[in-house]
Amino acid sequence: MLNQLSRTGHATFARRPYICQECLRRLQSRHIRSIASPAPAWIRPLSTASDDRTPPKEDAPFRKALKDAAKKKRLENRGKAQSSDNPSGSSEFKSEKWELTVGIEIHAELNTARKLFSSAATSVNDTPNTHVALFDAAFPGSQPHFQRETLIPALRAALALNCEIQHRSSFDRKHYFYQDQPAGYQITQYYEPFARDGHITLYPHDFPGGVSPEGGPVTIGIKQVQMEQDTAKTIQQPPSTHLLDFNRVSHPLIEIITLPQIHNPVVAAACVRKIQAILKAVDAVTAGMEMGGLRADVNVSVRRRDSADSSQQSHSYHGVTGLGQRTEIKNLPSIKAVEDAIIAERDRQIDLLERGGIVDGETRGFTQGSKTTRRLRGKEGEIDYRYMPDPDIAPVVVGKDLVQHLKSSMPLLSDDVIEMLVDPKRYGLTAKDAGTLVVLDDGDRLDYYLEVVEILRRIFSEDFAALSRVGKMAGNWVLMELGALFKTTQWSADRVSPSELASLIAHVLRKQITGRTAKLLLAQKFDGDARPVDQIIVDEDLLLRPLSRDEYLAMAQQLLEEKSDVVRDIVEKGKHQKVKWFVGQMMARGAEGTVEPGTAEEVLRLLLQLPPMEEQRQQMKK
Amino acid sequence: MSLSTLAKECIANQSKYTSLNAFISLADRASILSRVAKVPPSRNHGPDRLSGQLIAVKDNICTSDLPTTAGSGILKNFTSPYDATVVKQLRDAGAVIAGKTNLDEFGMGSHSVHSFFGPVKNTNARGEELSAGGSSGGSAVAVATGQCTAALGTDTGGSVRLPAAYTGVVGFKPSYGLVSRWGVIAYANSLDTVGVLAKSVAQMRRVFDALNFHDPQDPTSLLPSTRRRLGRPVTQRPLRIGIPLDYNISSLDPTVRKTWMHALKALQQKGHTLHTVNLPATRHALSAYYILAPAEASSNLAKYDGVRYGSRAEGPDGTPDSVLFAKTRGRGFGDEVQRRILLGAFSLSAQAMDNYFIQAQKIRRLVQRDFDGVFSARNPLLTSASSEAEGHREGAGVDVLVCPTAPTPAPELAKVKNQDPVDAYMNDVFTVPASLAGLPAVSVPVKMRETQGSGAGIGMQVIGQFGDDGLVLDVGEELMGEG
Amino acid sequence: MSAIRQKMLRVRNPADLDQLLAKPTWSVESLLPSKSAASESPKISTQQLHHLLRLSALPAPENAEAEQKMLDTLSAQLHFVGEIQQVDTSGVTPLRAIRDETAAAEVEQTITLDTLKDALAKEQVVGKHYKRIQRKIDHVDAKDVEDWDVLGSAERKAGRFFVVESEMPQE
Repeated sequence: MLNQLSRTGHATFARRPYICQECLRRLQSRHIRSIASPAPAWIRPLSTASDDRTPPKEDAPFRKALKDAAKKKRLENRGKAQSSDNPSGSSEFKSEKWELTVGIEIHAELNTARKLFSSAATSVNDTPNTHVALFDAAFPGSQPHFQRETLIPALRAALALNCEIQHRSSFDRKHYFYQDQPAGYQITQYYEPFARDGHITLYPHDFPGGVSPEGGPVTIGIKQVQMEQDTAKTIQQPPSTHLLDFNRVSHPLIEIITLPQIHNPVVAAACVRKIQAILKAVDAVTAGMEMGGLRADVNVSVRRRDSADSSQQSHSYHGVTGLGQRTEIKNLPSIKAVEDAIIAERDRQIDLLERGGIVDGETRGFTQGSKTTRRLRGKEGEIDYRYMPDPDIAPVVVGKDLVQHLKSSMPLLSDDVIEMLVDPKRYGLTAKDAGTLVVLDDGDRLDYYLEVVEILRRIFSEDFAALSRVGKMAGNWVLMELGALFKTTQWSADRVSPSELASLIAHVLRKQITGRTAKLLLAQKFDGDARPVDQIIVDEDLLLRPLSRDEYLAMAQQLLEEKSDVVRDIVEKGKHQKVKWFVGQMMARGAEGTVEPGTAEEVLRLLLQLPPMEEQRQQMKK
Repeated sequence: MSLSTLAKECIANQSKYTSLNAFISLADRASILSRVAKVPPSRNHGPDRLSGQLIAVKDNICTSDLPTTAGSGILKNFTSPYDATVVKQLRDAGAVIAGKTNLDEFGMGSHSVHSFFGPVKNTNARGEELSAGGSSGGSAVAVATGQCTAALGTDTGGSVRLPAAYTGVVGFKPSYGLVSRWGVIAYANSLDTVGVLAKSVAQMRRVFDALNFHDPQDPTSLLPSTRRRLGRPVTQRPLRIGIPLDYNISSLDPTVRKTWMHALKALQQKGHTLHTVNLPATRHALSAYYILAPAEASSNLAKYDGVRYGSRAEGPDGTPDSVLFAKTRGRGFGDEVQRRILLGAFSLSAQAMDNYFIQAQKIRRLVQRDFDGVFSARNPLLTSASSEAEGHREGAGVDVLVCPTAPTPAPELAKVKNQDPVDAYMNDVFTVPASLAGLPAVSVPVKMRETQGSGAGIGMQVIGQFGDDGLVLDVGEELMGEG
Repeated sequence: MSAIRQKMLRVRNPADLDQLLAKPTWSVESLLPSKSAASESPKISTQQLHHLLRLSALPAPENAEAEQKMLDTLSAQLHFVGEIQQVDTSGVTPLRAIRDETAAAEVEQTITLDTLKDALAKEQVVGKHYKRIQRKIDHVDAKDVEDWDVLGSAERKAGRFFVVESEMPQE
């Protein structure tokens, strides 16, 4: 067989060293003689025969020492994680004894053209004090003009949170003095909010890692959603100067108040994340937390599970009874801050109570990165808001037809979309990827992905094997590959059109190009190559040919000649597992995807004059 | 008399009566005269019925060409960037704004003595200094002394009717929501009503007609559809006049009681019938008012902090030891205003809310019900049925109520200046109920033959069902002998 | 709730009128805290007073005398208005403001699909497979309410900003 190796076949491997065929033959004959003899020890299953696998007896204590050290390190790390979580005692012990209760209040800026009580325009970063109506600046004699259009995003948000829209609602004044509150009161809905009694359900896919801390879905009640005014923007000029811009005054906000039914900081964080996603999905808000368009306040209390001391647990909030005294932590600017602040406050309260202290009902703040919350307002600064129905504003009456229309034209919400995306019969994505896809680029990425899949399904309409892979593959290309390219650029569905990406993926699926080639092609298209993928492949001759048998033999031969020591290991010392190493080498040397491992091994065994894999296996069984 | 002559007379009176302190700021004389001179002489009918007339405006109504101070130190240098709707409407009807009249600070007071710019003075024929009534005392005195042909005031608990009664002029408070409040500095939003003071009901009507329109800028302005349901096209004559016995209080001055009886008898002689009525909630109306008005006031005055407008105290606005804005507000607000803000804050505070504020709103509903129980016309705000349909019920109620405007004639100024703050509240006992129910009410000076010539007359009040402004003015005219 | 019509007394003779009005029906002075009944006035503590002053952003009284005066006034005021607490108002709906409370007015004021049709028309549907609603971000013309000298009445300003000097701890 070796003699049949033509010189031309060798040409590709001309740079490889020449193997002395005579030496090879001599080695092989020794090998074959060994095989002919009844099963020598070295042919037995590798696990017992391989010397270098089992540790030498003398090394046993060392190995044990290594294992022990590794275990200790693991425990230490867990301990550290726990202590950053909980300075005095393990978190498991604490949660056995104490139950945490959290309620969340979210303020979100609505996506509207005009303000809530004046027809001045909403804005984000315009020249200061250029979008201010007389009423926004609380000039004497000015009166509120309720802008009814602001109800549209508010109603959508409330409907997406499963609330009951109230037929009648009204506005109240909440009084307090602060430099960002020009009228000395904020107009809000304290007594009669426009939406009540909703809920939000967190599914495993809403949690990091796709695991719900409570085992299954968690449903959190929403007490109400109310509309209210935003305040002025303040720019601090230390030490004590505040510059005020009233553009933001009376920008419509909704406040979403959950029931105190959250018992885990991770659930709280997921709840905020999901509410934000829902608000964006129904176009109710423009900016998320990172842009300052959404802010969260949390109410935290703890109580002993065994209710040994029920005197401390007689508080009731929003109808939920038997709770401990709560504190409020205001203006948390990120989802991580929500989680960290709750953990810090929970621990502070537990420590305080365990030392015999009492939790004061107060308002606290939290800075990202710190370990504790700090007090903002104490008892003497307690504010009585003196809520008074605003006598100038007529009650808001919402028609059933409007509610019905908004309900029926609601976009698909993330839970339904994710369910569809993770369904193995439909798209088969992981929960994590589905979750990412839903929020990326306000849903534009998802729309693009769905189009790519649709095109691929048309291309492979008869090929069931390919069809089953299309969802996942497209997911990888849209999220990972394109994702990497768009890292610093704003998303555009036109940069690489869905049909072009589909074409690329189809080529890979058909093994016409290697994965590596496809990635390069994608980058090329991203950088502006206007030629269709098909054309580029032809122009640059990127089509994969599978290797011919001769090419396999030539490559194998080359390899064996190079690595004569390994060959000796196999043939003389019987280390047959090293054939696999040769297979790996062949795959590495060949263009990606061109070397089939099965064929490679078969050829190698042939050249090494080893029995084919099947036969060797059967022999071992005996 | 030509318009120019009239105008010159007004201006002359303004100089003559400067010491009465009726005005805080006066329009430039030259410009007034030139504007009046431009009015074509034949304008007696048509939309410009106020052409060339000098009309004074209470200084809590915004004008952009004259300062608007609300009688307060905190706005002493303030010029509004815009005009109130009523000011625009007067100008559109051809009127000339004579100036801004003095008042109790932010409308809080019954004698126009709580003003940063000094008290308003009212003198009788003997030269004695009397109270001008409040809070629209400046407007009333300006009209009474011929410094203008009519004046705008605001009536929250009687602030147009009481000064009218004390100065012997006509003071009209329309039904709530008919005249726009856009540009009227709020004291108590649910009670504030722009009113008119004039020497005759006819003059009053001319001004009111220029203002009685829906204004989309004012969210409490009655809708056109509601307005169409108001009033009655024809009221059956003779009228049924109601005598509210609950207004016969023990401290009613004998002269006032006599005038009341005189007025009722005069109406009877004209053919109308008299009927006693009971309005038991009247006894609680005053207390309810002094909970509701200061509460709304404490809210409305929270905007005065000196940041965007107004006088600001020197130094920082807040320190760790002082409350933010307290220095500016303490400096800028007078004592009576601060007293009412405190009372208001109390009524709205969490512990007091139900017992005071909400209870007062319930009393307010009872007052409204009382009135609805005596008027033959149904309240158009509570029922869509037109009063015509209720024709068959006629005979079951009265058309209007006639009663005194105030328990006493104008008291001496010296006495009220040092009065206990709470004592002053009692002057409003007859005016407050109509305010709480938002009903139209006019005060007209009624002279008894015996006292004719020796006094300005005693103010008698006519109160009608909501929307019956026309009828109320008709009866007012009859009482004055005009009709 | 419909008003209950009273039985009304027709007064036919002027003499009857004299008699009717001869006897007063009640005394408004009864609302005042009489000197002897001063102890019945609701008591306001110094703490409560200072709390109310803080809530109202008004300065604390300058001396004990001024404080006592404030306490007395507030107490008298509360006595004056407090009598309404004796009135039975069960089942009575509070009257918050004078406005059209008829069913017809409510229908007119209801915000319906038609009311908001212009605003809804300014939205578009984006996406081919994953359809979403997006409000079109057009330029908003609010000149009629925005075009005035916003900073013109302020005693203090810094460029285009209003200014507040406050050494208080920030939230």
